[in-house]
Amino acid sequence: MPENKKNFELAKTKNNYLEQISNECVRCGASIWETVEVIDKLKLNSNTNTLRELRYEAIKELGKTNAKVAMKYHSLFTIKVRTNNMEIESFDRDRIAESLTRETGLSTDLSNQISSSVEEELQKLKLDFVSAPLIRELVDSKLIESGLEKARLDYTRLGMPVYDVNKLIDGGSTENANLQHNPETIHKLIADSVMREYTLIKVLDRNQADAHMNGAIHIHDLDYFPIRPFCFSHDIRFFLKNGFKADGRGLHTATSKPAKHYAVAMSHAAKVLAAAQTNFAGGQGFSWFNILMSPFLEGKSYSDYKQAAQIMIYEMSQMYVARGGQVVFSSINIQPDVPKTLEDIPAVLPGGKVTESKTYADYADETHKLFDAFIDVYTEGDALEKPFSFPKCEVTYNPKIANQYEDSWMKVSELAAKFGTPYYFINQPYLPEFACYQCCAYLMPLSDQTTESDLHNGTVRGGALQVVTLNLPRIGLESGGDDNKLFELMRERAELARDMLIKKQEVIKKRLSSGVLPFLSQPIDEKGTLYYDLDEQALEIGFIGLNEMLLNHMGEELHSSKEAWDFGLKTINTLKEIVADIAKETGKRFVLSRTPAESASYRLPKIDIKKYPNAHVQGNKNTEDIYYTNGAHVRPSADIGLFDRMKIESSFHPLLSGGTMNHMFLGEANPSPIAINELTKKIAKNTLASYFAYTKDYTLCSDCSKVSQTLVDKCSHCNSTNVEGYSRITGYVQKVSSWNKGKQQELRDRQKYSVSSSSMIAKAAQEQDSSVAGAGAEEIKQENES
Amino acid sequence: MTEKKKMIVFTIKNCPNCPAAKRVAKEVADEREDTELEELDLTENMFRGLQYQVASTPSIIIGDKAIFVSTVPTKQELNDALDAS
Ligand SMILES: [Zn+2]
Repeated sequence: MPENKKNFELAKTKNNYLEQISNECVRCGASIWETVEVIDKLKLNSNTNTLRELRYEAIKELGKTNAKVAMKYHSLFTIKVRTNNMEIESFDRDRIAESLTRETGLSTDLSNQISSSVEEELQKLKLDFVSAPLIRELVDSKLIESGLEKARLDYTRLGMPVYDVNKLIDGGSTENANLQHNPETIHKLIADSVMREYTLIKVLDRNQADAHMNGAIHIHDLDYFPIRPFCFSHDIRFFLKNGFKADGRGLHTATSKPAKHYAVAMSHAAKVLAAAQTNFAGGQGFSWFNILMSPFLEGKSYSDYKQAAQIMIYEMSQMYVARGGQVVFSSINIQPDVPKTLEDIPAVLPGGKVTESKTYADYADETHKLFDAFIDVYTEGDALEKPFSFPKCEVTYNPKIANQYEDSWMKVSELAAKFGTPYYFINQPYLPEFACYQCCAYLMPLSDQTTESDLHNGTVRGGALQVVTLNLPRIGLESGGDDNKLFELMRERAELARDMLIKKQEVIKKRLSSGVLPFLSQPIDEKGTLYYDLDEQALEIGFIGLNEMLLNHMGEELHSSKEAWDFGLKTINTLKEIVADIAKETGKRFVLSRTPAESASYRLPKIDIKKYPNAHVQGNKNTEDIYYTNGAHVRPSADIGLFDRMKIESSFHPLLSGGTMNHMFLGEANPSPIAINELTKKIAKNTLASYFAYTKDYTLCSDCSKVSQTLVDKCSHCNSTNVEGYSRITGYVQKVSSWNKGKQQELRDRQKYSVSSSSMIAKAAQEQDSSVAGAGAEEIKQENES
Repeated sequence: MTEKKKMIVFTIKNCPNCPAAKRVAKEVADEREDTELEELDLTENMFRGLQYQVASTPSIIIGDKAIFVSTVPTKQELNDALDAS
């Protein structure tokens, strides 16, 4: 703009302001003569061009001739603002205009227009005080009126209605079963709400946010999307060798040298998971835990082994340090044997020493004993004889050599029969060379995610960056029974999921480089390789409700016919191929998995029945106690034998490289450990299951603190009705009262099984040979709860 | 007349142990009057394989159960398994 034109514009604005001020003076009771005099003085003497300063000068001038009018003007036209910094300032339209331009990139003209109309609005309201948030709300409404929706999203405030904050303070939330109601939780939930909104309006693209809101796709942990990766499996050797820095750098917190004693090693291990949890949204675990810890127990008595196991288990189930006052979502992978992969790897010894002459094969006995010690401690339970929910006990079962550890597996069966604690990871022939299960059943193909040198150097590590879940029943509703349409829609949704996951990768890349994730960006070698190798992290495309999709699409359920089962396999295989195509096109580590979907299994059907009243859901539509069947599971309430259920569900496992899980819900108060042991062998040998658990419900008495078996209304010890039921929600055990309505309905619907039939135990005596398989398992009796 | 026992061998191309498994299955089936043999490629019959709980080769199904998974039985072992079925 040429100089003279600019001056002309300024003069024009100043004239407009002066005209406004002269009207205001008159409104406050100044005479025409007084007003003209004030305006003339401002015209001649004032160097300022902002309305605010011109007003102040006008008030000063008026004060010389008519103090009363000047005071009235002062109070009427300088509205006080309570700012965000808890200070009180006079209202200034220009500051709105400036902030609009700065925060939204609107032109000065547009910003001035908006701020003027906001000022008019405020004057109409005749308030002495306004708050900064109120001004922002008024600006937002003006932006909407002017069709400036994008600017509004940039300018808006994030927060919560007072009502909701009250509700959280008084009652807590039932959305996340992990959360106790306490001050930490209240803070966490309020922060979550802001971050969720921020993710939806500022991080995700509009179509991505819409897809989540309308239920086509569920993005897990929206509140953590912009700042935390999801889950991770750690290699304790890195910390045994290098010591432990809680903040990843050792500056903000104390730094430890490598542990020399098993007790210190265990406490370092516990703190590694706690420290990592401050950077991650989801589960934290250790693979090969008892194997890698075994050198610390050389020459010790069995009571030391148990002490070591107790330190880890108690730390992980008592440290109330995860955000929201939760325990860390932790897991340990243990196994009685030293796998081939580790046999020749030099062991990390106490003090962090490594010598080529000592490898993990030399610690086979210690490994086996420490495995037993862990199982013993889990089986004893805590001081009140309650089971431990964390760290999740992941046992790796290798069918080829399991018979060499028969006593240990019998111990595991006793634990399963008593508490349902262990999660079984079966080394199926179709799986990668080494892998681990963790968090809520995600399979980490560690042998793909790391290198040979990681295996040697003690940095075998990996996890999932983010999970998004496709709503399969919705696709079934939209396909109109046309297979091609169904698969087309599936590809479309998977590509949307792809973009969300790539977005997450970009976002976390920024966080890593700006140092927001200090534990993850600690270097692991001289080259400066980061502990968190972003490109290697799995991008999980999950799905929910195959069973309801089949109902919507073909009117059949997964277990109702061979054709439905066939089509179910075809569907998931097609999805697997789509995900493989996406991985190939992008060169990124996309995998397909069944998602645990705690809240998605309730949120998605609720949205679907509003749009499609005929949508098939499980549970009661009238009361909204509804849910979708998890992943590729048979409907929980299906009247079908346990082994048949396992066969159908397991047939999907080889297609799900990102992980999946089968549940066996036990109905008996005291199932036979021998029967469990036999059933485990059968499942491992005769099905494709890679991961499963037995679920054993229990009730905890709030009065006498004792455990009653199964879910009961009255304590079996003191008859109190003041009791809490516990069961496995999906990937972990949690008190039932904190589950959402959908999950509670699922619990009522679950088909529970009795495994202790005499035929099962008789079989145990005769059967040693793997070539006689299968028979007997089908005889497992069903027990209908209702 | 009794119905014949059904045996399926799942194999894939380029699997090192598959020819041996096929040979054993064929010899045993030929020697026995009571057994009918079907040879299936697992890649082309993946869903059927999965329904029999088979995802690796070579694998042999007798009746509707996967008896030998990812392994080659001896003739003796295969005959025993057929007798027991
Ligand atoms: Zn009691």
